Amino acid sequence: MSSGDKILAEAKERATNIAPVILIGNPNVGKSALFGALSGRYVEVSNYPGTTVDYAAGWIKLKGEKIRLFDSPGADSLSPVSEDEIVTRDLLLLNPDSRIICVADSKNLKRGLVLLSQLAEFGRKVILALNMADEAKLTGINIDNDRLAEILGIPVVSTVATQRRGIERLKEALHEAAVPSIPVDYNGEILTAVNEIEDKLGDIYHGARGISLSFLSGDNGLPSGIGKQLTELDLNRIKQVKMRLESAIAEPLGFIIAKRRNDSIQSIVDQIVEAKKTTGQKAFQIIGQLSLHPYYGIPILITILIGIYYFVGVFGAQTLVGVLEENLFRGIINPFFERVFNLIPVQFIRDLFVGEFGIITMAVTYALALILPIVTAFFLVFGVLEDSGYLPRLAFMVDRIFKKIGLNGRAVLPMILGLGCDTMAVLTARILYSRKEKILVTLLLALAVPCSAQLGVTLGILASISLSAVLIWMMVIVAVIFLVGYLASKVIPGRSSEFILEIPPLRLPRIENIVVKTLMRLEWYLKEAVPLFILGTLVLFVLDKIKVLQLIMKLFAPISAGILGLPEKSAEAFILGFLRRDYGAAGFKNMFDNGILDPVGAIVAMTTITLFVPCIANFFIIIKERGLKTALLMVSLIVPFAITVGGILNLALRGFALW
Amino acid sequence: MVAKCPVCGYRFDSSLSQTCGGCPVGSDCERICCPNCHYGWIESTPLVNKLMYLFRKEKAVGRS
Ligand SMILES: Nc1nc2c(ncn2[C@@H]2O[C@H](COP(=O)(O)OP(=O)(O)OP(=O)(O)O)[C@@H](O)[C@H]2O)c(=O)[nH]1
Ligand SMILES: [Mg+2]
Ligand SMILES: [Zn+2]
Repeated sequence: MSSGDKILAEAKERATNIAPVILIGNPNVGKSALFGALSGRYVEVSNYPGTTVDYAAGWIKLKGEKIRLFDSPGADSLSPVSEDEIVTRDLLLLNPDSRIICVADSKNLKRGLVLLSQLAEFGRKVILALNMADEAKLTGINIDNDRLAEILGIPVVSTVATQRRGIERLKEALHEAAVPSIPVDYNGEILTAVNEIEDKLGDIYHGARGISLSFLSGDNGLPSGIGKQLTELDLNRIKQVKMRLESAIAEPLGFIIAKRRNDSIQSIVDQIVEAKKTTGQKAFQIIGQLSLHPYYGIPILITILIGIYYFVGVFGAQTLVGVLEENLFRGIINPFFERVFNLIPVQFIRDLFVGEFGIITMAVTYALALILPIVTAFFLVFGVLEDSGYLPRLAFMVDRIFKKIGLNGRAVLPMILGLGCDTMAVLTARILYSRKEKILVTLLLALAVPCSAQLGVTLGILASISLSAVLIWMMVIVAVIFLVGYLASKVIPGRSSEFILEIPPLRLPRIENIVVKTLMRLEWYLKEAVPLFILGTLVLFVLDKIKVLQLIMKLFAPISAGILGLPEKSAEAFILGFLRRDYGAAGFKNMFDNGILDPVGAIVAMTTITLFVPCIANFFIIIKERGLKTALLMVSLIVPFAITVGGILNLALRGFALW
Repeated sequence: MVAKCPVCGYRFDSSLSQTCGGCPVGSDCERICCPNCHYGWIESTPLVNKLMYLFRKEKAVGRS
């Protein structure tokens, strides 16, 4: 775009942008969800107070007119305490003639009205959206909208942002936006001070009353840059007014102002809200609290684990994989490609694509028919855990268990939760620890902590073998993690206490959210994993063609057959597993399905591979961060350790007839 | 962009360059990792973003 075009475009925007509309409301009330519903633009919506940290802009169509729409970070007060609140307050001041959609949680009207009363003091034209009307109904909260609209003198619309309910009415109501009337009964001294300050500010800012109160309430009350617009004299004078008031009143000003405001609003709320708790909401609240309880939290955790097992292990890894792999790929797709490639007279090309180590028959089939259904199921479950607010609770529980036995939970905790990032952890170790610690942390992480989707895939594949396979594997991995946690706590003492968690409310997860997150994770996973699958297949293909594969199998036999009790062919899967553990696991699953591997062999193989370096990316990071020598040293520690654990497991299961 | 961790609530700058710069997956990895607790998640990917945009536009037009 040339600069001329740019100016034109900007002018055009200004012309249509007479008075923007701003969404303002308390944290986590659904502003971003409403923003999406109003503008059709996606911004992150998640069940977490403080998701939006900067304002986002989009467009809204009102009677054919395009108007700017802003989403803002959640704020409980326009006398800003947090950075988010400062962003919101400044957004408000920068757009003095904007109309405001004040978004309140219908379940907590009072909190919303506190903010609304401040908007009134800022002299803003507002309409009130009572969002989460569905949850309020479920909770048994009944709000008399008409009466409320009458008291406030502004339109009041109930909405359910996530189901796009009430959106049209909200748009229509915008034309009737007005300055709400919420008289707050401040006492005489405060009123006098407010009026004095308002006089000084009145010429500069629209809504000077709001700024005056905000200035009296706290440290961040004056918008930045105001000093430039006020004369030195006036600035000093308003500061004096505040000091005078402070000395006249015993309690902190902010506290008094907030209390007066609260009292006035409570009297409104009492008139129009009727609350009776329903069983549905009570249940959520109770479960939310129980899930944090040291004892009752455990059955909840176990229930969830069982749910994961059935959904990922049984439904994903057995039902879905069955349909995709046996019926679709082995039955239709692969025979089709085999026929197509058989038309090509060159044996080499045929082998490359549809041979034993063929890109289509091996890499693509494993990726799409075996691993894709499992990770999809796994990501869906994770989406539910994330969106419902259970994940922080899980972290809290696990951290407490770790602390009880004196282990450092913080270092390895989120990895245990499944979607940790090994690679990242290696990199943060760079900042956190001394050299000795760094190496140890890196080693421990690479050793024991299966990353993200790889965990899900391994779990799913084991589940398709048997439940006891999952349990045995889990016990071994948990034991190793505890060992790791113990060692880590010896090396890095005193860090466990810093782990601060915020716990959001537990709520029914949103299907759309889960679908979007799952799709994103799948896209990311496929992009990251499939190239490595193809690379791994090519490596096997080449090794096979130049007859080195046989040699490797022979060399490897003492370990695979001798120590681990596995067939020679397992060398193939181990080679794949070095590129990515999940690909290696898929290789073992294939051997198991073809009867080459017995159940004990499968468990031993999967456990061993879980303890390997997670993926080649991780290995490269270790080289880059710690140097080749350290990296090789680590591998030379990790691999024997993995094999030792596998060997012991093999002995235990076979030798002592534990199976 | 500022991101907030869904596990621990830690807030940080998610422009990955400084933290994941050394990773061979490269700059187009969409994963965000919390420096406080190492939890990793995906906030947006190009393809899904595009899909969502189309989908929502259709929905917005269809309903209004
Ligand atoms: N049941 C129900 N859930 C909703 C509704 N609106 C939003 N949510 C959910 O509430 C949570 C918060 O929504 P957001 O739109 O991120 O809230 P926000 O006000 O932008 O939050 P911050 O940006 O953190 O201040 C999400 O889990 C939404 O799916 C609603 O009307 N009904
Ligand atoms: Mg938001
Ligand atoms: Zn975190």
